Amino acid sequence: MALNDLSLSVATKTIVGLIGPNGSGKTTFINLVGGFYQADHGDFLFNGNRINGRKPHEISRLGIGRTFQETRVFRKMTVVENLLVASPNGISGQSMEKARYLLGFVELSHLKDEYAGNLSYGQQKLLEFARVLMRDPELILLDEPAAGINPILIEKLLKCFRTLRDERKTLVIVEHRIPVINSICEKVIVLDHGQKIAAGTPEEIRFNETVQAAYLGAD
Amino acid sequence: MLEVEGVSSGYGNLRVIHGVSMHLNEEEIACIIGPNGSGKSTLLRTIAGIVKPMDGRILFNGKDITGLEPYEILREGICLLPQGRTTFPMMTVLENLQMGAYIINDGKEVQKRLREVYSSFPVLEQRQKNVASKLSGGEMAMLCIARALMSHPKVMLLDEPSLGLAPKVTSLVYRKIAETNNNGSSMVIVEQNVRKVLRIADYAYVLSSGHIESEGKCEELLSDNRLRGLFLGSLTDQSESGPNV
Repeated sequence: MALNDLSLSVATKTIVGLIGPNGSGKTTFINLVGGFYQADHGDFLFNGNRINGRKPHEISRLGIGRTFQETRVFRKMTVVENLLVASPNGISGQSMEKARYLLGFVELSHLKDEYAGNLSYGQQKLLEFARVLMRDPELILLDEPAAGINPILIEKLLKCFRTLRDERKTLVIVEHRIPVINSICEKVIVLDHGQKIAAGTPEEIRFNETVQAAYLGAD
Repeated sequence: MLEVEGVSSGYGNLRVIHGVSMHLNEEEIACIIGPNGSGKSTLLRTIAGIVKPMDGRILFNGKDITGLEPYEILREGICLLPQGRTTFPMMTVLENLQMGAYIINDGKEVQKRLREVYSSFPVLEQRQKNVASKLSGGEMAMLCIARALMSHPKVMLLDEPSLGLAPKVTSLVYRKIAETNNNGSSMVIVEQNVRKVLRIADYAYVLSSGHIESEGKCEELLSDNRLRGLFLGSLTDQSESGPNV
């Protein structure tokens, strides 16, 4: 059992960090919310509505977008096609304009006609992030968005996360880069062995001895 | 020990690295840092023979190994640890380690090397009968390093060893990397966890758009404010690990 009797809530317009050791159930949580797995019991409520049992594309249409830890781009499609395929407006001038803007933002414009399979891991992470934004989701679940990303670009990504929050979006970020969690999350939830072991502000989590022992280590 | 001279390579018509030169001395750790898509992984894959150079040459202990097949380069003593946790997921830990020694025909020698890696990574001995897919992220990372050590490589090429690992585990993996280096293996490490890798590396190359933009001893790079701004960013001035959420 990857998650066991877990309860947590995420307030609208916040950035919440979900951290914990490898194998603690963070990605399983995203897979459950996103409809990729089904829970044995328990409920998921989104804006007060129960979303259990819905398929991933239905969840996406409800306004929940996600990225993957192991990137899942369409390898034999070009970079720009990867974005257009996610657009709710199909291939239109409006979609193309948005795709161009997002590619510029994640610094992939020069690769727009390259096969996505030829991109590096970090670039594929950025492409996935841009693809999620094509659908303008209300809740965004990001599975290790900074993994494999250059430190300079991470700072740019963080600015974007804050902008999204200011635009009334909600973000749940699974991340191991502690400075990333530190700098943008209002709330941090810590999982271990499928259970919530701590929740609070970054400052509160910082001095939590259980979290230090299970996750952060001493050095 | 390892000399890369003016190497260009890429995929199909896409040229990713352009005339890159670098060197690695015995028992040294060199790191390669730089923006996404700058060609860091491609450079490691080119040295390992997975991607063929379009120009330039690669020398290992004076021998030209340009264009050799990956298994030939492994036999020369250069072992690549690819990005991600690339174990054989349905094989046991023991079988994964034995795969790392497939170039060794002497069973006794394989047993001897197994004892060596179990001594360095006791957790792997405890988990030797488990299939690799059931290991935690940190255990998988250690299995990858241990499997590489089974071939007694002279040079290890590590592609983002901290990727996706919890802070505590990252520190452990880096301790193991430092120990392995102290035991005589030279290394080239590609890493986005820049602060972490600069702590253990001797020499650093900054790769940008497929070119070596800068190189030098790690402490020199760290003291150069302009370069710090280019590759380190302000966030990483905070501790990458430790009780600093």
